Amino acid sequence: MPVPLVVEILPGQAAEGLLEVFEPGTYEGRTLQELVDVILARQDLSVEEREILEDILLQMERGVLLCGGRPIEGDPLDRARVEETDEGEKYYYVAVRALRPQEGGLSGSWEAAVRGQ
Amino acid sequence: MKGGTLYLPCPMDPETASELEKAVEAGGFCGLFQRDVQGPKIVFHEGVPYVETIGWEGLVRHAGVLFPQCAVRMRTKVCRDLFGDAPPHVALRNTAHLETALFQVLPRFVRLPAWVKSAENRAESLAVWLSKKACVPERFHRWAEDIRRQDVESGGTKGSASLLQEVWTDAEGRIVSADTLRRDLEDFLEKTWRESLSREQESLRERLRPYRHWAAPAVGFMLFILTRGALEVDGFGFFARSSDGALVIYKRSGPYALRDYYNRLYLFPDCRVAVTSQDLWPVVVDSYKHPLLPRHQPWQRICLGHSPSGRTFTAPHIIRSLEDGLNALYHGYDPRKRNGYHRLDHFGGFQGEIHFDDLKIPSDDPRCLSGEIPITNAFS
Repeated sequence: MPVPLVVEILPGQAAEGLLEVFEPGTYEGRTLQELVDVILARQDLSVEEREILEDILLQMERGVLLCGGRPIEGDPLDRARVEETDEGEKYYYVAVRALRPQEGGLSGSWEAAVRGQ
Repeated sequence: MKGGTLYLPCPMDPETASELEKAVEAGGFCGLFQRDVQGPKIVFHEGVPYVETIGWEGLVRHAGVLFPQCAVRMRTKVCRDLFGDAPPHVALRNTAHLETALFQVLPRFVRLPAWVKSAENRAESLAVWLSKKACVPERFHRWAEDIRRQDVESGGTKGSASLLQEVWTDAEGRIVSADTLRRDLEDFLEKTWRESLSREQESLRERLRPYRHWAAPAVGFMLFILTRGALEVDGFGFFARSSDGALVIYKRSGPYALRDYYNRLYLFPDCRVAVTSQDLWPVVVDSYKHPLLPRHQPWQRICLGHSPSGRTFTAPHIIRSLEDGLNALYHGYDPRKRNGYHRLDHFGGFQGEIHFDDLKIPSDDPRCLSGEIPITNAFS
């Protein structure tokens, strides 16, 4: 039986993000990137949701969108896990994180890095 | 007891007795002191000589140290009388830092129920929710109610000097038996503990005052957190560091996998990434090794490649630093550049050198294939 797909875009390491419920028939054949674009293009946002969207866009400035540590591409159901509502209704859930670039460490050797400490 | 000093009966060895008799015949001991003879003072009471020992005030003041077993017994008794269990004491001194961690940073990392987010007083609702989530023992709600209602017990409000004076005055000029002395000391210790615990209660009452209009579970939670000094909810937590009292705010990384230059996988265990109220540079709380950490030990700074953007202990800066630390662990190591202090694919050459061979897992590990454990540097 077809079930809805919930896609949530989370800014940084936040626990909550901007989510959209795609009913069966509206997400099949579309890539995860396309679904994310739909969410980011939403205009009917509440004040709280607008704040989250601004945070997401801030993170995406030279940042990346990752799902399970990998770029968002391909079929969303490949990355989805099945969850249940409190009423026991099943749905697919995909979490996408918007992360600003973060490269740690020094490019030199270990010795050079330790000397730099 | 004379002039605030305890005099004990002289040891009755024949030599001492003989010297004392001679001294009495010569006109008492005052003469001896007038000739600047150093030594303890001796007084006579009903023909029995008593030798000067220690001041009653000093004895009473340091009774807790001199008679530790007695002190512990009395403290337990007082605690049982007042609280029925372990007494509340303030573990978190800086309420402003606690409020920042609880009401501003926690909501970023913990998914809150809708009724908390939509509540008129979000902080109060969050405290009510956390009191259920943290399973706050019932006694904290009871204590919170008591503290809110009661005034300081009349016996506990006396200053230390007045209390001491009272005990001392009672004993002045008396012949005190050992039993009486012990009883007096126990009474004093009991009063001291009551006073100390009442002061602690007053301090707690002062800290709970801003929340006095909140619902009982919320006040109980605030008391719980102020006295316990630590909390962890869904991987986010904080605690007061015992060494310097700094508030440590952390987020657990959870297990994750990193890929090396040859596409081999390494499973990194969970660790707590933290910032403190004294330093916003993200650190690992636990003993941990990672290409972006110089050593294998706790409290290491995570190499970010830049300084933390914020320097003040405010929610946006705390959040930013914590996320920078987590992002560095998850995504900061580039297998092609092999950046960092250590290379994942470096084989441990000599003892003590950091290597990651023990963290290797098969490339087709089912936990990674199912997405249960994310491979966090696969995008670079």
